[in-house]
Amino acid sequence: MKVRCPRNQLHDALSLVAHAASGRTSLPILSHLYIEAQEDSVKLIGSDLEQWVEFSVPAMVEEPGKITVPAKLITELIGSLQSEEVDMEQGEKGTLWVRARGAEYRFVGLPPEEYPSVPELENPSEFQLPASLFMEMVDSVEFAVSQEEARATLTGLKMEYESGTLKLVATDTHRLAVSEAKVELGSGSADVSAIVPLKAIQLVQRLPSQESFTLNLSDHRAAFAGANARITTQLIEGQYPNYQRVIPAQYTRLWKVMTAELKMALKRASLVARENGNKVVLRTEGEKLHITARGEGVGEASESVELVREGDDLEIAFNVRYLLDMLDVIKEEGISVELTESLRPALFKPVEKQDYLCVVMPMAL
Amino acid sequence: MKERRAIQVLDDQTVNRIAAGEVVERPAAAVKELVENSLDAGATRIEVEVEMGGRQMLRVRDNGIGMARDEALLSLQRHATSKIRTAADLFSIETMGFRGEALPSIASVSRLEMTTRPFEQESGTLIEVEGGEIVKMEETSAPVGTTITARDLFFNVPARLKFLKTTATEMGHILETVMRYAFAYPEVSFRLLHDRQEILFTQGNSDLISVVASVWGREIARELVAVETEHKNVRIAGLISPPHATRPTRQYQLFYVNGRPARGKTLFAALDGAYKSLTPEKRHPICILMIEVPPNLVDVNVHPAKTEVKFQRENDVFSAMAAAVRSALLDHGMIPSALPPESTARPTPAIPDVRIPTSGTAQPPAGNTIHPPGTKVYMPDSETLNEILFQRAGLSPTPPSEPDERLDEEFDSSVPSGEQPSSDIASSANQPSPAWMTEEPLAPRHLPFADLLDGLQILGQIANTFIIAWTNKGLVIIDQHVAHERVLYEMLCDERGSMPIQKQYLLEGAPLQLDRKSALLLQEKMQELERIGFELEPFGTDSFLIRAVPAAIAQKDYLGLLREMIEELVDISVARRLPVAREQIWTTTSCKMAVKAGDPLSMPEMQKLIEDLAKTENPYLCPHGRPITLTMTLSELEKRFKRT
Ligand SMILES: Nc1ncnc2c1ncn2[C@@H]1O[C@H](COP(=O)(O)OP(=O)(O)OP(=O)(O)O)[C@@H](O)[C@H]1O
Ligand SMILES: [Mg+2]
Repeated sequence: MKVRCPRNQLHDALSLVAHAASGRTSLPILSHLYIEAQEDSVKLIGSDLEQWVEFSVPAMVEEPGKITVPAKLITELIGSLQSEEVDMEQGEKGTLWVRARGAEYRFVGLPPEEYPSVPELENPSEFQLPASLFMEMVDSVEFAVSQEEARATLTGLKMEYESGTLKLVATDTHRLAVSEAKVELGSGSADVSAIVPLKAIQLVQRLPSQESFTLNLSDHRAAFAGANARITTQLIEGQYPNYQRVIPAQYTRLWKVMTAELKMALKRASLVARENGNKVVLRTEGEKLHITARGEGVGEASESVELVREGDDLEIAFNVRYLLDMLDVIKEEGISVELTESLRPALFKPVEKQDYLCVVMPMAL
Repeated sequence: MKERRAIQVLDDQTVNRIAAGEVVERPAAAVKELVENSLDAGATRIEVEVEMGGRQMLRVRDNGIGMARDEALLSLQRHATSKIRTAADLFSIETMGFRGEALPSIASVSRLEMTTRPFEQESGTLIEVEGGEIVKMEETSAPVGTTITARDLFFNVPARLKFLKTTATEMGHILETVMRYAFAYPEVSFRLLHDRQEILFTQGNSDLISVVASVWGREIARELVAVETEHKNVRIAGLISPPHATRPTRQYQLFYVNGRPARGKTLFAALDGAYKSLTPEKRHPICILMIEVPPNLVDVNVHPAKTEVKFQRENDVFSAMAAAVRSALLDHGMIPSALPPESTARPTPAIPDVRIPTSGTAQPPAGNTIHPPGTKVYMPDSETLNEILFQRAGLSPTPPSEPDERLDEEFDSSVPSGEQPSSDIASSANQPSPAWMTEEPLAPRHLPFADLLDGLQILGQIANTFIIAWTNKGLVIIDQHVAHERVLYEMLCDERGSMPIQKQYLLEGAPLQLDRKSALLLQEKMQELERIGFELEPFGTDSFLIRAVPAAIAQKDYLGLLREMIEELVDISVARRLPVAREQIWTTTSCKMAVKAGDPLSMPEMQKLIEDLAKTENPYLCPHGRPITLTMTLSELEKRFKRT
């Protein structure tokens, strides 16, 4: 293998691919990247056997070939070089020479045949997704994904396609976020659903910006393909909870407030609330929504915001973080809150939009 | 001077009562004896009925061979037994009973009623005994078998009565007893009723797994695998758990030797040996193991309660046990053969081998004049402590036990209170070169904690386990887990609720399925659990729905934490033979909810933890009595580097 690449592009590609490489040392080859030169590009692959990232960089290929190199080393080196271009050449016994304007490095690789190959998807359903729309959807539910490994299915994002609508769902058992959009089905079966690991989604978020990408979903794997890159991931196996059941169908109280106003008030109150399990109490009185928090040995907070209201007065407590996480992703001016009782779920939606909702469970008063 | 008293021979009744002290010390012991008799009588159905934890009434009904009238009368006499004839028979016992002591002992401390009928007779016999005296005997109609009812246990032994614990505790022991036999005799159907409620039932279909399922719950039953081997005259059969399914104590380890429930170091040691390096330290596999050895090779007469066994050829038992466990685990692919066994143990965070000499803690150097009062560095662990307390109270180390209030009192008083300073420390803080700084060893120090924090600067975390900080006083090392444990513990104990526990509701109730014993305990301690932030709701037999969880652990594996907590509380209630005190719940809770050794912490998190710790009343010792902070003063450092 002997190639010359633009250093910038190579570095961007390496940083993404290296993210997929594993920190685990149990299988040394996974801490390496796979590099293959063919025709007029260099293809990089990184993986931890859960996710695979493939990335192609344009290159002048003098001699095709393949090799592996330690992911961290090569990424850091290419990042700190100053030149416009970088030369890479295969040396003896699977070593790699990297040369650029006076700098010359040699890295020890591992046999490239041993690098785990990227798995194929069987009978995938294919969608064409406008990138910005999908990223927005992801952003609006990502915060509700559970971090707790004990309930594996909740550590992923549920993607569900049914009669022309793609839904993204996340829950950590205290709150639930659902975002949906109309999406054209390219090919394959019409109704599919999958639980995609958060890590794969985060890799997708790191893809260089582009117009759109192709999403492939099969029974056990998903793949996101952009212009030069492709991310393949194993799906999380298991039963995702029936989330529809926890979306309240009725309400007896309805509040409408300005998103920004509520957000700022809650942000300030959270300064005090964090001393007390993040608890804030929301209480309506006439056209006002009062927000209070107490932090023992710290003090008290009291805020009030304008409110349009249906139904009786109500007092209810929430984890202020849960409210802020949600308010941070709502772009619309107004937000509506559907409630029943103080220990029952609250349903938050942007006013006059049907494509997003977030259910938050209260705290004890 | 004391008055001299005449020497007297004790009457029969007194002798009987003394015997009762050994054989029947609590309701569960009576149940044990009666159930053993029923088993010896070849019963296939045994029903145990209990009221008020056995204090008011306990009854064992069987369908065994029964007794004719004369036999029945005889059975109530001391040293009357059908099971051995000569002392030589003692070396080859094949029945549970052999002393001819159980019935008269129970009869002497209760109002006893016996109805019995052998199958070859049309009618049965009814005998009533009160405190050892036969008060009634008549012919009666009765089903084949024997029913023995003991009412008002210990009515004539007030001292015994005083030692009985709560109904729940006594019932716990009875359940434990019946459970042990239910496992040993899957072919016998057992039923246990408490205040008319069925709390245990086994079908008697000879299937051990189904017994486990009905007693410990299906979840445990699903995990166990069968063992069966024979090795040099020692036959071992039963069920064991794979190395990953373990418990924090030995509560789920049951052994039987020739059908008799048995304990003993030999057995534990043999099992531990077999699992060596497969299970994490301090975790114990689950097992139900029936060990059969030729009767002449085992001595059951060692212990009055007949539970301690002694083997003639201990080594054979050891190697049989090892062989049994290994082959069962291998059969089920539970020993990963490619990896060395060590690698299956729980990974422990690598702690760099930087040891700071601690000689000062072990032996205070001579000339170390300042030791603030109450500076007791090492607490005896609670087991030893128990022993000491019991000895002090004039009781044996494994006692029918003292009321726990007393234990807690003693325990608390031996924990340094934390508000220290002998005035010399307080004043010396202002002096330019305080004398106390020079000789202080590296030890948990009892400075006023606020002082200790003076100018605190966190340097970092090592091994994701210890927080290293620098203060005006010197270097401080804080164990993050115990520090957090202390913070949470005081939060829980604080009746004033100044740092109240917040409760977060769940979108959907999370189901929690428990075994019977855990369910009973949970039921009983429901209120305490609600106080710490859980909201639970009964949901069918032995199941609960979790509605809300403590906000502090909402993002953690709250289900796993709750399970572990209950597991540990059950283990404590069994191992210590004490009902679970609320302090115990708080200790366990704070331990479970605290950050663990190995959890990386951010700077603000460490800062907050130390601030919270400073607010606690005892920032020096965790609720288990372990030290939280170590300090090394600047002069101490200088001395160690030979700078002075
Ligand atoms: N449920 C029963 N069915 C039939 N016979 C019984 C029953 N219970 C007791 N017996 C008879 O009464 C005798 C005395 O019982 P007891 O429990 O006092 O002594 P043991 O069982 O012989 O010895 P140990 O004191 O060790 O239990 C027994 O040997 C047995 O013959
Ligand atoms: Mg007996």
